[in-house]
Amino acid sequence: MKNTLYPTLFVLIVGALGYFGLPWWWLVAVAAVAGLLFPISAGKGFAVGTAMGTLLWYSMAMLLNMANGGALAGKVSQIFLGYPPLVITSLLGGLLGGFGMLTGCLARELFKK
Amino acid sequence: MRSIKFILSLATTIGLVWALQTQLSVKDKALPPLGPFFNPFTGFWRNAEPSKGFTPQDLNLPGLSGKVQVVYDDLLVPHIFADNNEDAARVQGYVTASQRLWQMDITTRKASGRLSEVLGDRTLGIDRLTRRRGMVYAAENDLKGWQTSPETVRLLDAYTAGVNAYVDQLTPADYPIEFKLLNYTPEPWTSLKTALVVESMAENLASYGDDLPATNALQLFGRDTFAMLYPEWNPKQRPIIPDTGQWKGIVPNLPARKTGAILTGMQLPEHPAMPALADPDPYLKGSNNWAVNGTRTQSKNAILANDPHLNLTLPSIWYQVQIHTPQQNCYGVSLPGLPGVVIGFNDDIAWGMTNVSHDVSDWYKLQWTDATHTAYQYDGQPRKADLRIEEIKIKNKPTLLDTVRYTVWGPVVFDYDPASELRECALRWITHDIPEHNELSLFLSLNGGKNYADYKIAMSGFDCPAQNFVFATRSGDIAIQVQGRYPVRTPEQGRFIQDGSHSENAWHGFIPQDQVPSMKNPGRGFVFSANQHSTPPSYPYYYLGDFEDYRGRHLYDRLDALHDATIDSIKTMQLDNFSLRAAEALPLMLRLLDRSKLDADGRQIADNLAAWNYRYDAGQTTPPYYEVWYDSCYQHTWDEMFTIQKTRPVLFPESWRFIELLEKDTNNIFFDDKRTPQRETARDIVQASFQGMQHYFTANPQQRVAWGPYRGFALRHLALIDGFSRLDLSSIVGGQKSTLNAISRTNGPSWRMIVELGDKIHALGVYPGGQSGNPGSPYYDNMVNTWAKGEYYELLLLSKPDEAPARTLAQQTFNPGK
Repeated sequence: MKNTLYPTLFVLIVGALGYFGLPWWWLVAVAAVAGLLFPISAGKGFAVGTAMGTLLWYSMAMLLNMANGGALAGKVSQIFLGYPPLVITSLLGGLLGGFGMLTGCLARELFKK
Repeated sequence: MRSIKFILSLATTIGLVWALQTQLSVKDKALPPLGPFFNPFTGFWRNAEPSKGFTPQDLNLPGLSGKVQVVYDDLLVPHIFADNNEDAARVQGYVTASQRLWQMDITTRKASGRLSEVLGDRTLGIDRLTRRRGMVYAAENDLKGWQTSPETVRLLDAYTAGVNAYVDQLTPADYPIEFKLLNYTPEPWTSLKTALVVESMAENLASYGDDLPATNALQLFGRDTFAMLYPEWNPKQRPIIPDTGQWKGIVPNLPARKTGAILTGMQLPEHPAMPALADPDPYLKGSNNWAVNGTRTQSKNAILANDPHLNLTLPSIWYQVQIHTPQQNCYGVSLPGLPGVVIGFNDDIAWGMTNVSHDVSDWYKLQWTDATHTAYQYDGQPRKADLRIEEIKIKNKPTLLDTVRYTVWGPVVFDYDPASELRECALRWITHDIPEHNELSLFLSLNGGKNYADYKIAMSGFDCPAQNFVFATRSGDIAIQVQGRYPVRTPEQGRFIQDGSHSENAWHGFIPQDQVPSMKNPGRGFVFSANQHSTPPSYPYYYLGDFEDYRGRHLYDRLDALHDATIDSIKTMQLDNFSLRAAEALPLMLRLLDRSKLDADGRQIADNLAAWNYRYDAGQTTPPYYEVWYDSCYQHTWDEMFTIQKTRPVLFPESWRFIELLEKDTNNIFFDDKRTPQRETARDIVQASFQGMQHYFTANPQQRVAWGPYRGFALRHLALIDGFSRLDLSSIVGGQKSTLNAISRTNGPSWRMIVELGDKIHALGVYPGGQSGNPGSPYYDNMVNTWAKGEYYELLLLSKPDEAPARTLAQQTFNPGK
């Protein structure tokens, strides 16, 4: 549990900060760096990256969505065959975070003797 | 093993990022790149505005000469308080862009044939035609005309700078949602784009022309039948300006006709494969305006009303604004992209517009000197065509360079299309001309106008698209002017395609400004227009156009009967769903119907029709039966035209003429069905159509619904995105093309305004939309239901920023500085 705390915080905090100005794929980079920096197994890394990517994208979207009363999400869902944008957003955040961190972890393991 | 895992994971990650960065398309629909679109930090979520409150930031706006205060009322209407008109224009540009930037972009892209640049080759056909019709050429000429007025140039530049100050500070997160969906970025505004907004109105309102269908009809039916089918003057018509002897002594200066000049009825090569150009049921373009003076109102104040009918979209074509400066205090609707107020009122006057609908676009057949089409015959001499290269950029495709030939008449629009009957014709269109006047100056001078004299000066500055300007003052004057720039024509000139090899076939100058039809303070106490004929045939100048035949007459009847009018009684007129057309046609149809031949269901339908009050209210169940029956009668009668229409455009008789034949000429040859040996009359048509109608409703019982759901009504987003449209209004929106509340499936009153000019101005207004162009804003469609229910808002003409605290939503200050 303990060794997942740092990469978790890293993805959440650095990820959120970086989004003030950096492009959408920033999450992949942050997760990959977390995977490189922190000694965590690839499996756990994937899980942490997925969870934190989901959480980061979901919570930002949720904040905006709540203030908006869900109005825009309802309209946008019609463009995407009725799938709720919150779900799509969370899913994409999870994928980006998960594969980013997995790649980072696996890269670190390359250098491990 | 480790490295294989790593490479697999890296490849998956890169693949994922690539896929989410790529624009996808599902079936024919293009989807945005999913990564940037769903990224909650910069993607579409950022367009989800708080559902309560509005908190604009104070800011510095370079170029301002002083502080400008903007008060947003509870409808998000900006009330701009500035020290001068230039500062006001600058802030109007900024504020309008902040609510309607994408609309401004897409409108001007469409008007300039630049859609394909961002949407790809699916819009190439539209772009090419727009370019070839000379829309950009026309806008460039507008600018040349406007340059002659330094005041216009200053206001235009300030407005442009205001828009660009907004555009410049945008980050990708702030882009309007449509930019994110369609995956392109905003670009700077220019004065040319303002001209393009004007041109897009001209394209909407002044591009009418039936030259080709009329030429075909003349060729197919011959002179006598043509005259019988398509009379130009409806004897029941109530023109806008009656003849009061004011035209006595005016004789148009027309040259003597030279022998041999062909003025009408060019023979055109026939092309069986020709796809029909003309739509037999062109969508509705029409509007009402009127003003009554104190003799007809309870308060003894003048009241002015206007409801311009246009294609209804979201965002709405209009944007409400108040502009308060020492020179003016004006409220009304503006067109995003144009400084000032287009339709509105100030402390002293009010004005409104309807379309004049004169034909100001003619086609001229050319005689090319050889197959290269570089020169054409003109007064016996070869004359070289000018070439204009249109560069049409296409997303993900090479740029298309399109050469358009320009003649003395104008562009040769259709020579790229071998199937077009107009391929050897040049377009003479008034909107291509460098304006002698300055359309912008009209609005700017009306905005600050105080009296009738100011109105007359303002009028003299407006060319195109010609408008019926209704006018009223607080001092009690009312007036109307059919303002525009109109060609002087020989009789029937421009009705058919003309021979372009003779200069004498050109227009013979323009109608002098002081002879343009107008009227002030008539004894009857009202002025009005509803797109009908401008004048009776005694007006000395020949003109032609697409004129309405029922709304104007019904409006006249209502105004004639109007006494002690109040704002509430004026409302009932704007919302009037009574159809004079139905009231005239249906009794004739019922008279010609033999009820004894009907079954019980048919007799019931006939009884219901006979009891109908001719109102197209949304909940009425009878109108669908009448509509199908009438349309079927029309189609059975003019089956010849419908057959021809499949291969060549041909002119259809107007409704009023058809109804007149039902009344006066039931044995007309066109009522005969040539496929049968016996000779049919109107009775047979009416009977067969009734049975056809009955079969239709028997076969389609789901169509036995009230008028609203039967007709259907949609308020569509400009990019036709269903989620951003309002498709839930059919059951409450009534009205029909021929009623004062003129609504069709997608068109209708785009702004309803009523102004009572008392000591204090009392004004109501509503449009089907909202001030914000952002589908994520609570102000995107907040006025739609009010409009659909036939309700209005009180419009706030503030004299100072803090006058209406109860209706103030937010304040924003613009300071001069960097």
